[in-house]
Amino acid sequence: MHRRTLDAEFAGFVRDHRSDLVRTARLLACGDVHRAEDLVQTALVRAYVAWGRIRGSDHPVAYVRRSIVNAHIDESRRPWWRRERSVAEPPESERLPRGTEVPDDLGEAVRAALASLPPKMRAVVVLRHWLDLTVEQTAEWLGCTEGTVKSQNAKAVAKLRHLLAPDGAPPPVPVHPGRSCR
Amino acid sequence: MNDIKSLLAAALNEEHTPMTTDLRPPTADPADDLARGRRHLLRRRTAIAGGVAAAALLVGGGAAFMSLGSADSGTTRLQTVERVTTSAPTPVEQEVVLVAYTGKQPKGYRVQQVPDGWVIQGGRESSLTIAPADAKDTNPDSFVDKLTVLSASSDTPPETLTEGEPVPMGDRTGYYRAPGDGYQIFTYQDPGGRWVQIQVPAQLHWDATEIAAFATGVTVVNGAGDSHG
Repeated sequence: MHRRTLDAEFAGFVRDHRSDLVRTARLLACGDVHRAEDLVQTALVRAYVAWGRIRGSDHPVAYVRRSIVNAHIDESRRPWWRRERSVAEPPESERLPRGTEVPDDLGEAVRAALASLPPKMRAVVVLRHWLDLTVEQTAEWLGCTEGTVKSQNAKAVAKLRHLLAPDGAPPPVPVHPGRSCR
Repeated sequence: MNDIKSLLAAALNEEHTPMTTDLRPPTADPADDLARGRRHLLRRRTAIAGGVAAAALLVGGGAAFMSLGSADSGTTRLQTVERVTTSAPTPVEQEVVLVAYTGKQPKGYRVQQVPDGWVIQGGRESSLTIAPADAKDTNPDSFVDKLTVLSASSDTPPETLTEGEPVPMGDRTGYYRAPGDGYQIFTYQDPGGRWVQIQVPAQLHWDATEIAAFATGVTVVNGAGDSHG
């Protein structure tokens, strides 16, 4: 197919889905818009190069989303990224000390709580709860077992609940860990 | 929408750009993404074309050299050129070969081989950095586009150390994976029992076997410590 036609199709895809892709990337990046933009750009460049093949698939959006998740996981595995993230204190104690009030801005509190999760665990939460992927699909996307997805999801949900609920108070939004392990 | 999804939706709310999951997202301008995609495709095609041209030059030059050294007739020389040209491989990437390392050993590591034209930039307690001799970035703590060896942290999840394709390396087994963007990761347990992770940049054009060959010659010795993230 002519490159001009492919470009027009790709442009249409970007128009329709980019904002949604950025939102998913922002969750993976704990609200960091610059990192989210990097993830989306990386995924869209890959999609452009392979567009002739992707356009014929059932769900091109899934391809790009998966590419975003891969880029997120890849980045977290790189030594220089890990080095930049090094901190003297555990993130949760720095960002959201236990026993303190949850900030008035719930969004900020959730982003801080997400940041306290390891990258792969955060990806599990986003895939399972934001993109509504099944345990099987999540395991396939992340290249791990279904058991790992279930346990990571349960731990993540429990940790979010713990961080977002000041001592003795219910979390801002009820969280039910049991629902995550279907 | 489940409760976790509500929390995630809350995480996306921003002061100036409130968002909800139930609204159709605003239309995005594709111009920049198209431009980035085109540039990437052009670079890729240029690299491939350059590789093919370089291969053709090498093959042509070799054939010409062979023909100049021959006492055969012109007809025979032409046949020689054709035969060599048609049977030659068409590599699109130039693999950087390993050569023996003869310099001073870095702190914490013993290195037997390095990529040809690459030098050891630094050996620290947690990492060893090897880069092209003419690399502008000489900071041993910067790992972009460099060959990096890290002694794995003791708190690294065990399952991540054996992630990927098993690759034999002598009497041991390494694990190879290519997570993307051209980078490759190779993990193995050195003779002292310490897990080592090697990060290989794209410009080396190594496969798992080549990385295993390099890894076989790298040993973590006293002085190297955990690489913490």
